[in-house]
Amino acid sequence: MIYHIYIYQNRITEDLVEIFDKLSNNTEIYSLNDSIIKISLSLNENEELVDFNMIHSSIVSDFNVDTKLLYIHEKILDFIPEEVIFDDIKLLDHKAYDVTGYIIELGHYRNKRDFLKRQFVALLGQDYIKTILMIAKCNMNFSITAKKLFMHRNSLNYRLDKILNKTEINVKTFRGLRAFVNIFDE
Amino acid sequence: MATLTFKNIKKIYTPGDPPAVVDFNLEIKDKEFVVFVGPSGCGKSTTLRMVAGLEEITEGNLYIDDVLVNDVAPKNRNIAMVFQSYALYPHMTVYNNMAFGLKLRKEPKDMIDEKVRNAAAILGLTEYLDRKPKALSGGQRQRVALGRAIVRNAKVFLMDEPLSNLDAKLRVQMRGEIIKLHKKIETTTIYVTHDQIEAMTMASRIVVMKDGYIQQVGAPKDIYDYPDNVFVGGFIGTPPMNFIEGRIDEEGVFTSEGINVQASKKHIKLLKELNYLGKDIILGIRPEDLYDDAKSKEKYKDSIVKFTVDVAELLGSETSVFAKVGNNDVTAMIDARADIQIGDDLHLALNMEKAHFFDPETKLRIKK
Repeated sequence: MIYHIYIYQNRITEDLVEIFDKLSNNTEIYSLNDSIIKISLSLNENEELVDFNMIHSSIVSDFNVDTKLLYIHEKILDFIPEEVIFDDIKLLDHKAYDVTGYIIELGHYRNKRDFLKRQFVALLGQDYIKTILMIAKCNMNFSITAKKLFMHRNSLNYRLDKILNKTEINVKTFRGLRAFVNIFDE
Repeated sequence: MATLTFKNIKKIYTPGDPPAVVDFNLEIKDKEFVVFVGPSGCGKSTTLRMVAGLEEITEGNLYIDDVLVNDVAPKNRNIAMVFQSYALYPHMTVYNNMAFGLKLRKEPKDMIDEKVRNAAAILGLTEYLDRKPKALSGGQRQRVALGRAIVRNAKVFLMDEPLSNLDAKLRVQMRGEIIKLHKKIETTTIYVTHDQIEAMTMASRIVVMKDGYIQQVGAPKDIYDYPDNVFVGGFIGTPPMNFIEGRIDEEGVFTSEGINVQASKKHIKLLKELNYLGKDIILGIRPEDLYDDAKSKEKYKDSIVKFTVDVAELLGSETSVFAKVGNNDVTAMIDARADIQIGDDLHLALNMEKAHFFDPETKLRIKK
């Protein structure tokens, strides 16, 4: 499992790099420009992902500066290219974001919404998007959603797992569903 | 150690939107423990972040020790922050977590060592210095987070809901520990919380906020006993103050649906002076100022009201009764009695000496 962490700070210092240096045995750090660094973290199957919200708070209190932190699974780069992330990270608030939080935040920008819409449709197909929106329409009642879509409850579960697998966004949670609804619901 | 002065501070996030903080004027003395309290979105965290320098001040001036700091970089303000999420590096030991901030400030190694060990001794963390945060309990982790603030020898501590992550029992314990710590190191502290019990128990002064405005500033007891307006009366205190809308006649008798009580002499004098007699008014009374024992009923015989019990909750040492008369709902904290049933009639004496009157339009407490 490879996770990428992107950090945006007005001026990146070596001390900031030092924090991530020992995060795991397999860490690679790239300085992308004056304000962005990328940390690639390889985790073993049973290794837990560290709490990036906690690290973010620590950085803010130690450096007394605002910092934007985004951590995403490697596969996300298949549908959100890195160049897009470099631009988008500047738009985020000074917080730590996972992919769900990142998409919710970008849903506030019309042009970003259009881009994400295209990417998600290409990745998941219209059928899956309809499924997600139906869940929202049915107030997250999965049995009713399955009925309305004329499918077995287990088929619906299969779809949701597949969405999670492809996007790392869990549509079974309110937060995950919100990420999609923000983008697709006119 | 430091004093802080806020002068007409204003914060607007997006032009055109309502401001997050307006007309914030406050002086915080050296060694004070000031608690900002208010509901979510009232501007308390924004104010804290402006002190830290993480948020720009739209208008007004902020002074630390009489030095204007509006444009001073956050790292030069000598401020330490403690957050709700513990703000620790999960992969570093307790020792390194506490030392990191000092290393960043290029302090000599022996100095760092001394400071970390001192802070660990104050917080009872000496034996955990080699552990990683994962091997600590929630309370211990929050103590390390406090330790990270202590070692910095900062002029001001800013704490943003530091206990929200802990369970109820641990929260009470940590509350005590933070107060003890403040007594020991006496650093000026601003503590943000939405929990009014934390505010009441910890603060030397409380700042109650709502919608970006300061509602009242004062010592916990003053705020509890003399709330400036309906919001403060309702926000501070559990259960909150009861508010009954009604009318007061020329004789000083307050009437509302099913309620007919005589105001106290001092209130009648005040209301007469300020020309409120014969007008609509809001009566505010704390749940503990309603009595059901015979002795009190005899003493306050001019202010007895018959209520119907909606719910009675036995809390052990006392019973909280939710009762109704007409459209008026009240809460009363009375002696623990198991024999109160839903639907019972309950005669309660109102201690009108301790009641407050509020203007129905401005919602402000009527006072000289």
